Amino acid sequence: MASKSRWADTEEDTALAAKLKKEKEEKRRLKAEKARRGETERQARLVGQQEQTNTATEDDGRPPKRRKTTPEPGQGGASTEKDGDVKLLRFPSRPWDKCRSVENYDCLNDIAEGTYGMVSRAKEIASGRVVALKRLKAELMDRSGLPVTGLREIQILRDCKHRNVVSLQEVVVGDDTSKIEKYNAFSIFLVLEFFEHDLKTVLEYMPEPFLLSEVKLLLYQLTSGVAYLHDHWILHRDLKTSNLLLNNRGRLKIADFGMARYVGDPAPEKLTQLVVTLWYRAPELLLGTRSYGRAVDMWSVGCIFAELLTRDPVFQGSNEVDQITKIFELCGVPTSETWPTFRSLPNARALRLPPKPPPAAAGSVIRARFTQLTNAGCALLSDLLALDPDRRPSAHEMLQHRYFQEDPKPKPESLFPTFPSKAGQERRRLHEPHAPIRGEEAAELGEVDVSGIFQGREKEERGGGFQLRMV
Amino acid sequence: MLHEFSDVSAAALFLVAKMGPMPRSVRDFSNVYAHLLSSKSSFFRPKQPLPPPDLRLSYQHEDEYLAFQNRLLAIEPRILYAVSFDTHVSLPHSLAITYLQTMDFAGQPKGAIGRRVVAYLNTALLSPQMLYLTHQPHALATAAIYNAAKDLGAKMPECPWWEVFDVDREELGFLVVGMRSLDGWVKRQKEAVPGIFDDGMVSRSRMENETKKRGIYIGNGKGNAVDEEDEVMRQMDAKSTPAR
Repeated sequence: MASKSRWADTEEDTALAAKLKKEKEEKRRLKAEKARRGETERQARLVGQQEQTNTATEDDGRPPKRRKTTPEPGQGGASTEKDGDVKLLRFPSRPWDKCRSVENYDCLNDIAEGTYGMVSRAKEIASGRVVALKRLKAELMDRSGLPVTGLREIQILRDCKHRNVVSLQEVVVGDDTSKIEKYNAFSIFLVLEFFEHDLKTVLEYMPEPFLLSEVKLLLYQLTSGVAYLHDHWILHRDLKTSNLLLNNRGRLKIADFGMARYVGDPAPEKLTQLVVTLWYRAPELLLGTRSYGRAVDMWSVGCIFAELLTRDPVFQGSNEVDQITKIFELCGVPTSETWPTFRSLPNARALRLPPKPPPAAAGSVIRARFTQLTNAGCALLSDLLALDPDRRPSAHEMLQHRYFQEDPKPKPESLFPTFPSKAGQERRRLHEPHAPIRGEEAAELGEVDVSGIFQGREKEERGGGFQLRMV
Repeated sequence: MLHEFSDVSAAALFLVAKMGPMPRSVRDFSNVYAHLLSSKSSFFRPKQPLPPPDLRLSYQHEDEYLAFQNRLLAIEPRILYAVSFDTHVSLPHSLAITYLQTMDFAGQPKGAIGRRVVAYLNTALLSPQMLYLTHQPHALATAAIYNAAKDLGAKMPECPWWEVFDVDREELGFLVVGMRSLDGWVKRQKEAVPGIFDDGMVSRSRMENETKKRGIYIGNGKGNAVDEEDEVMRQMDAKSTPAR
């Protein structure tokens, strides 16, 4: 300590001593006293308590007390005492080291080939823990170095810690470290936690749709995951059922951050237009906007909500034009009331809408399509599938929605049904039409004529909002 | 010491730009570095007046560009590998400004004390003690404020104000001394190697010559956690590939 006082002047020391005494220290000193003179213990405590009350009322009660209780003579500064006294916040320092090798893992089987790389099931040899290994695709490493999407995914996943977001355990590299500098011969693996299913496969293979309480649980988990991401300034930009993982304990996790990125406020002006798999792509993206925000994720959440109810993706367009037509069929065509700014979007100029849609036909038919939903559920779904991005609720607003409060309540995770895992056995290629590929040019919509979409609707029977299933 | 210093700096900047909101192409980096390293640039040549822009000097042949790109792309994964892709960095600069705001800039003009604080923080990056690696941002920020306030003669609170920022006296003292000692350190380096900072960016070959003169071997040698096997392999690898 004495050596440390080189840089400090003694005035500061006394200042230190005079300030910031706390009751804790007081008690500790009293204990020391107690050890020294056992008989007068009670008296000392009494005095101590008196002094405590003294210090509480006036600041000047300090010097006499200090004189009396200094434990050892000759202790120069009060700094050693202070160290234990003042509670300072300690920040955990993260150690870092070079990557471990993929040799620490034993590959069990391949699961699927995603947009950005192979995913395999593997076991960590040391611990026996089963994980998913995702390999960054090597062919994406062109002359501009490591793929920015892969780096972003690692960056984002490293920062995320939430029960509904997949967690990245570490990044490992191929066994041959001498190859590292040959950027295209070098492989990078993300070690992710392993989940048995993805939601798409579950939906495909399940004989009966989810119960409403199960849908509610899944949707709630999805929304809280999305809320977490949005709180941390992350846009996922590729939410779809095949990117949602599900385990056998009813836990849902958002995965695949290959499209994700950080956004600031205000959002960057020029974002990539070609994001989100076509079937889950929001109308403003289809109409070519470049400044979009969290609402694109909320649209995808809406699509997933509808898909959970029916087991089929709600808008299965074969191309951009077909996609936007299908959206207008369900949600109605945009008007200046429902979406004031849509005319200013780049692709909207070429859009030919029905000249004067009959008011009854132009609106949304969500209520008629999703008859199993309650009023609140219908309201939530139509809010999520609002054409105008500004009208879609935020993830936080959605969590407060009365749909989640009313009966049936979300099913507890522990009661969630289990499914046979497809990921455990065979390898399959996901059928994912029009997953966005980075660097590709976004398709121009061109001349689009959707004026005919409501032609048959007039003849449709306008029932009381229920359907009879014909067998 | 496997790579040229300027290449490593270019790769690090390239990587940061790529992960951040403002990606830049390899071509941009190539041009800027060629310009800075050209013999007429005023970069690291304090005595030289700023030359008129002369494109011929920083002109790059296509081959040079490709070689630069190769070097850059080789170092990029090497950097990421060394930090196991953990690219999260928190710098003390913004913290320091926030701290200054809470202290009402210690009664000094905002610009003056702010500049001084940032100057200390930036200088500390060059410290041979690696202060940024051994200490947390909040401690660096507090120490820089302490130094700047001392320099400007600002009146600081009598109490141990640094504890408000969760820094204890010992840590603060270490950093204060560490930051202040840099000036002397640089002076000593300048005396030891005359002209080291006056003739362009320090290059690897110059460092190697200098250390050879002093009879020191530089390598990723003893005490370093680098795998020696790995090192030998890489050197063999480098030999088998044509010289860059």
